[in-house]
Amino acid sequence: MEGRGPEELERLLEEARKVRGNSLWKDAMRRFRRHGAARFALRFLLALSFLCLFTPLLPFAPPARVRLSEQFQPPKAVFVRHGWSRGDYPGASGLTGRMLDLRERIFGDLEFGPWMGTDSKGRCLMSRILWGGRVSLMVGLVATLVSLIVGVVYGALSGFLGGFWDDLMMRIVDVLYAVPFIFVVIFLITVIRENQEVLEATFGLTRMGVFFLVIGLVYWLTMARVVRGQVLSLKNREFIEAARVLGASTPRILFRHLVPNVVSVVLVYLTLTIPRVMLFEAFLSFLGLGVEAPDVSWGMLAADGLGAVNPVRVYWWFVLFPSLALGATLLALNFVGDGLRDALDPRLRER
Amino acid sequence: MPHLLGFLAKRLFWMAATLWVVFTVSFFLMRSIPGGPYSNERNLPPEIERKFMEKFGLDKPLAEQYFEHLSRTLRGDLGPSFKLADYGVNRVLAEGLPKSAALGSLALVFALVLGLVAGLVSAVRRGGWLDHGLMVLATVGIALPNFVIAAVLILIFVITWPVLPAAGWGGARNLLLPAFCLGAPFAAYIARLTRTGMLEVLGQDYIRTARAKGLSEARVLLVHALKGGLLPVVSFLGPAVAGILTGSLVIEKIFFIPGIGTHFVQSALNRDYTLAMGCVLLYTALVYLMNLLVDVCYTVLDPRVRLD
Amino acid sequence: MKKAPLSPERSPVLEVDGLEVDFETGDGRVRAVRGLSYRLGPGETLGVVGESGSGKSVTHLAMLGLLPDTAEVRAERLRFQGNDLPPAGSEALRRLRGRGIGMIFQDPMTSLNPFLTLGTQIAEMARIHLGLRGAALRETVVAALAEVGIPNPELRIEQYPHEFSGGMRQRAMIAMMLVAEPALLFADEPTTALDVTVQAQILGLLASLQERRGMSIVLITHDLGVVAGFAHRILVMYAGRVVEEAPTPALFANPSHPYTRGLLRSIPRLDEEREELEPIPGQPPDLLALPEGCPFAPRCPSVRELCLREEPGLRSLEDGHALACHVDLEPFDHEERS
Repeated sequence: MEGRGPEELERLLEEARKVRGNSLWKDAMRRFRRHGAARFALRFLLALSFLCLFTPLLPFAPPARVRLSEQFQPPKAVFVRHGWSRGDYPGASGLTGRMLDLRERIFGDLEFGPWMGTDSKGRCLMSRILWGGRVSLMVGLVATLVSLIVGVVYGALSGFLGGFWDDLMMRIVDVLYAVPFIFVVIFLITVIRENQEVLEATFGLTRMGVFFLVIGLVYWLTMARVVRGQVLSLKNREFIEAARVLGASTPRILFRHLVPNVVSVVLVYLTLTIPRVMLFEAFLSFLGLGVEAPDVSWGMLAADGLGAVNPVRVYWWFVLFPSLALGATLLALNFVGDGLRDALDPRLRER
Repeated sequence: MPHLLGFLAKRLFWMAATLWVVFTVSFFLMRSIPGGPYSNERNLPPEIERKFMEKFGLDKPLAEQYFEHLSRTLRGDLGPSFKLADYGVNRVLAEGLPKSAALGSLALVFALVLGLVAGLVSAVRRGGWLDHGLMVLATVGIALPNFVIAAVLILIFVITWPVLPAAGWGGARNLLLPAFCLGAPFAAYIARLTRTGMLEVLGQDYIRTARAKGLSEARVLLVHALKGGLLPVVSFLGPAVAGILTGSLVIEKIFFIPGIGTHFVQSALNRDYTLAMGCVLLYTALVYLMNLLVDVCYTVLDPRVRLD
Repeated sequence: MKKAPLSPERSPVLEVDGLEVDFETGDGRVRAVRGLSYRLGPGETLGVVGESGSGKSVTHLAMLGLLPDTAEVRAERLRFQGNDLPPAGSEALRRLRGRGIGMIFQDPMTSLNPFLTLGTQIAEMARIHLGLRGAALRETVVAALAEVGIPNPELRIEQYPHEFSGGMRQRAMIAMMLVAEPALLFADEPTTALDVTVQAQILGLLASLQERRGMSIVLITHDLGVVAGFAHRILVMYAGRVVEEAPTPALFANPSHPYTRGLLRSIPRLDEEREELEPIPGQPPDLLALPEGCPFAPRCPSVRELCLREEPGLRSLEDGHALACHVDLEPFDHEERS
């Protein structure tokens, strides 16, 4: 590196930034658009997210309102009826509360009838699926974000420090890999539930917040490894060397030069982690260890549906619709993840 | 041989260390609960609660409890169950384990047979409609949770077209549906791994050599290509077993199979800490041993790899 | 060099007439071999020389049906020991491979199966082609390894390829391919991956095995130096065609194609004091876009206007020497090389 003036090094850095910035993303976008299944899946996910986000505005029955007289109604297109009131949503406040207020102003007490039938307590299944979708998608996003932050920081640090610290940190990851986390997490959740009041009082963590944290903390290991590998391979490239010669500080190199270059790999891994996290949430909720009533999630709805299966009367909608919602979403997320991987990292595709 | 023994000793040491960490963390988490394990049953008369505390040694100092519990666990006694009266954790696990093992092994057999056949067919018929169809099916299998698969299959094979029993523990027929649902996602993974592994190996020089030798296509595929092509599948078996153990929690619940999965979930819901801890220790040991077994198999399959 | 030309009356082991090989690629159809013909007598050694992409390997893989499905092979005549070669993919051709025609490859590291012991890999040959079993099978395998000069063959048969050195691996490969005693051996760059001293040993081994068994050999190489002391006759290929063919002494005495001369100039020689080798300028031709006229013309030092319009056909000179070039060059000046 000696013998090069700072101007030239600065130019080299600028070039490196531009090369990765422009052509890589443009190429990736083009490749992704050619991936038919992934494109369709992405549209589906966007539509679903939109629908779930604005669920409080939609005129469906309140998800938690029990009407034993309307147990196990098959799907039907009852269009308009009157009945809901703001009091059916006791916990709703903030943005959700305001959306509900807006809905009351637009639609009055109108609600659209159980298009997907009702469950064992006469609650509208479609409304429950939409409200459950809010929770399930939220868990998927937030818990993945937690895993992302932990994994990226840990992996980048390990790769960047190198030597002894790298060895130690990766050794820890290896040991943690061998622990069957899901069982430990279930145990952890059991204990945490008991201590909920204490946690809320001391750390201000709500039940949901704890849940996000715990799930997120399971999935950071692979992310840490992936990021470390990327950092190691990028560390010795010319433009990083250039930054070092120019006297940039370690954190500055880390966050200004390395992190942007790791983004594509992280993004691919991220989209593949979201479905795994959602699957884990559904798994826990299915077992009754995850989201708790009055909140709803897809895993819980699927468990309710399967619990009502009996050979005498078939409530197919009660089993089918929650499974369909969860299944379609997870499938779409997987397709988008695969498409993104093929688009951003053509080398992986050939394997 | 001494090489293998050294390797085993080292790995078993790491397993013991991991188990000890899991034990210690679980123990202190358990004891950190304010009011003790009966906090949700505060309406018990105080003298009964005291008796319980004495029975489980909860009235002693924490350090003493820890070492007592640890030495008892080391002797192989996981202690009494907090909630199932007169049942030791050992007995609960001993009754549940054979059922879970039967379910898990059958699921693994399904996963291997279906996955390998599908992967091989896909690789040989590369680019054809069969290949595309199987790989889309594999993506579906990987994406869907096993309880969604179970829901659909129950609707079909139990309700609409009743050929299989819905639930319970009994003959082999009772196990078919749950084992299939449990194994399906792993069959999908194995199919993908087999396909990519075989395609990679089929492009190797030594496959051309095998053909130049005049071997039959079946022999080229099954003797020369399969061994290398299956290495990724073998390394996947460790995670697969861990995944099947995890999945069995859900599947045992759906199909009412009284295995350790059911007990574990029940113990977690009932706050039966000794039982939950026993299950966690058992699962950790199982996963560790399976990974060990897989590593040994790997070295047997690939002569270039040495145990370290 | 001591090999005398063989009498031409004996019926040929291999007859190739008008062989063509096409590949379907993502960028279009590529013709890798364009009308290749040659004859090979019993006990004869033919050297096939050319750069990568000249079609020298593809030709021989095609005859054995070892090309991928994207290849299309046609020939006017393709006969082995007087009979038509069975079509690719047929059971008859499969049985001929290894038994009638053997083939050894460039890199013995990647060409031997790393997951099977050498004993297993050799034994399956003897079992399938010779029907041997049990003790006789083991004896044959051990004898085969001993014949190619591998010490301690009883121990070696239990070992895997990665436990052998490069030269020993190639010896093992030769032992394996010759266990069923084929009448013809295709050797595709058998010494390229090896050290110079080991190269000489392997060539010596091939020569002595040939003498003992009387088999024919086609030695495929990019290196004229390798075939010089080994082949009776040499075929020089360029862009899927033969550009020059001659008995070895004649080719070295009077190389007539500019490409052959270029190849000769790029061989290092120990007996001459030369500072630098002269590489042939330019790149091998792009088979997807062959120029009109002679494909060598863009790199040819003696190019004429005619060469750019018309591709020259193969014409006979004296004594079995044939040439595909419009130009009659001055006799090769061997001193010019220094």
